[in-house]
Amino acid sequence: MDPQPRIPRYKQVLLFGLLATSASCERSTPSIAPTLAIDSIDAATLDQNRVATGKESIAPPENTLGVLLQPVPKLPEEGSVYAVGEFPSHSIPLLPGPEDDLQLVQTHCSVCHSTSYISAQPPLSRAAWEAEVKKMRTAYGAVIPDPVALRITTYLQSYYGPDASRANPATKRTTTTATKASPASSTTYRQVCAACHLADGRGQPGVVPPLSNHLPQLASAKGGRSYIIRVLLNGLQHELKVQGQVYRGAMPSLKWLSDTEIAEALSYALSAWPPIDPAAATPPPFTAAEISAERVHSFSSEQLAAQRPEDLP
Amino acid sequence: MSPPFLLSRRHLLRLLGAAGVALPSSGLGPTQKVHAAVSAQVETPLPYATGPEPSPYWNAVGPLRSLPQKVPLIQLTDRPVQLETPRHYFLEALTPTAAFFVRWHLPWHPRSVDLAAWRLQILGHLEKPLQLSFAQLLSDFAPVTVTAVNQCAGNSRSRFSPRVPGSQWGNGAMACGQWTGVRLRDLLSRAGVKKGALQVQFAGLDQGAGPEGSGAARFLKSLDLASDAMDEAILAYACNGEPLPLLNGFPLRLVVPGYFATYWVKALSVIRVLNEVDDNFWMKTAYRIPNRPQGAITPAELAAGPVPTIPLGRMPVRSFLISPDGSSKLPQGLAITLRGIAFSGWSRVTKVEWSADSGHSWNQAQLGAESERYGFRTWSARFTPKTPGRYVLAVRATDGSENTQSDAMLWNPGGYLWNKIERQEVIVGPAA
Repeated sequence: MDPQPRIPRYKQVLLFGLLATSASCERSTPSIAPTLAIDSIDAATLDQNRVATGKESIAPPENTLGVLLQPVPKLPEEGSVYAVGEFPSHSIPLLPGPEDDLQLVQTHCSVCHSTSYISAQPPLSRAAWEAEVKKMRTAYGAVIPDPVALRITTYLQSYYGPDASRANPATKRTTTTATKASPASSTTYRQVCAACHLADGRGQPGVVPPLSNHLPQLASAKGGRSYIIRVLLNGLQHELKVQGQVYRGAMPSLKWLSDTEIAEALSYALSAWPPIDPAAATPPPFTAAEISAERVHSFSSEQLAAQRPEDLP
Repeated sequence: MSPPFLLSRRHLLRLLGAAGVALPSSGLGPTQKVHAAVSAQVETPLPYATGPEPSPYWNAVGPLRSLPQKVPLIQLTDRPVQLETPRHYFLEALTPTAAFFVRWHLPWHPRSVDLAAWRLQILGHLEKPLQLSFAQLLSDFAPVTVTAVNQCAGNSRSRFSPRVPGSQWGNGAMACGQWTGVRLRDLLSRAGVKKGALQVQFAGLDQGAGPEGSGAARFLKSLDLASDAMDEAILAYACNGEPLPLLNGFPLRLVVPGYFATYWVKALSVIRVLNEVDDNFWMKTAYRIPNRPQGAITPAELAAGPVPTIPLGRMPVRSFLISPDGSSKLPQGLAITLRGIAFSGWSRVTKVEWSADSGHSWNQAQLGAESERYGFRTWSARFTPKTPGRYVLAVRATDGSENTQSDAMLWNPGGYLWNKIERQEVIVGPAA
């Protein structure tokens, strides 16, 4: 009885090739491996098989593409509340364009949806982009003044339109210009609030009320802190009189921002610009808890306008 | 004396079986339970967007993301969340709940629901409005289970030519689940629908930033009380024997078998019986198709003037080849198993045909076990490529209502109801 069955040479080669292509086969074929008489295969045949099995490349290139990090598993808390944590957000940066236009797009579009809604679109016609912006304003009630809508449309047509060359934005990432050194910078203020209230907080005559030399007084007035937070959370479309000037612009609701982001942006706007009256005290910064506490209420613009503190200097 | 050692058919089967290739054996090859996308060569990232041509990819482009209670899925957008199911989850007739695609319209979809406070409210044109707790839904009504495909009306929108705006889905905005819950008719009869009622409107817990009354404030959908959809609709508190993930509509979701997912309102909290036709944005303006066969129109016709539209409803018949997906070369002479699914919102799938020459000639595929009317029906077929080269595989299905798929022009401005014949290129290499 022959304990080592002889394998015809051509079949050895075939077997070797099969084994080499699939490491996972090893467990299912333990009885086959010892029967291979590899030393009887000449070098040329081995080389041929290496090529055939792709084994000539030894060190694969370092590459994180395809890597997906695993989150740590977590048991939910006991009780009647069925909850998960934040849904992480990840939007590809928008293609670089004029800085102000980018901010307008970021601010107004992000009220309802992240800008991944833009970057995922195929190149659309100019008419299609115009129709999209129009739909956001009419069907969805986005509060976007005409001139701003025009700039947003132009940006979308230029960078996401039929003629746009869409390079991978990861390599053409927009660099947001940093505002001039301030006591505490705020990304949220820069990316969201500054689009209308401007980087120096002076607002826009007749449309957007100023924050510099106004927000600290408002925050110090009775009921002022709640009023400010409520305006941010609910938006405000109502004529306002600030320091004798009438403002008619519309403030969108920013409730999509997190408590921390709102608190940080507000605190920044409280202390960022030197007050006209140097003796005036800066009110304490806003806390995320203050913002969170106001989320349970919702107010119409009329109600909010009536809540505005009146005894302001 | 032992027989000469030869590479037996059994050994070859084991070898190749472990490597994930099905071989001709008794019946069809074993089911591969591959629960992750088969990877391409990790060299070049997919672009973030495709166009202006139709997307050439089976799935949407976009990064894979892990979100709570879900396996990694393809992200279309992050706020509100839209995720697509990778191709290989469709090898089976039921889609794992954790792999279900996700599509919300408004940015505040719930991350947290307190079942001690949550109530399903049934209001409107009723004798006796109701408020039901989750516990009451479980205990006070006979549970029913239905198997049904949930497919986004815009599934495969990235195939349209010319491209249309909207979520740029590949083919993975679909899933089939076994839904358990309460029959909608049972609930309504307990509340007693008054004479003159026309529609039933459904509202979830999701909310948006838009002004009250606008499409960006609430997502509301309605069904005609007289519609046959009403007879089959259930309010599901479980899918595949599990609670719904928050991203898929916990604690309760409307299931409308045969109908597109736009009606399957998630995180359901209010059912309102209307005595007039719902004219909210999501019924009057969105999710409508030209009132034409298959909702199809040409861009030129559309540009010529407005056309009457109707709310979309039932899903046209579709079929997909899931494996092979073209990522591996197939050896000449080796029989492989083609595998996929088919479904229709009109009636049971009765026939699936496949082609190895891009649709010039067709062969009948073997259908999987008799499925429920509105579920995925699996299909398979043996294919032995005789000569090396490039093959274009194609698949088409027919349902019991004689609906079938074709290559005919299909376009509408919303990017809805895509059901053209699917194709997959595969490369066959020489084996000697």
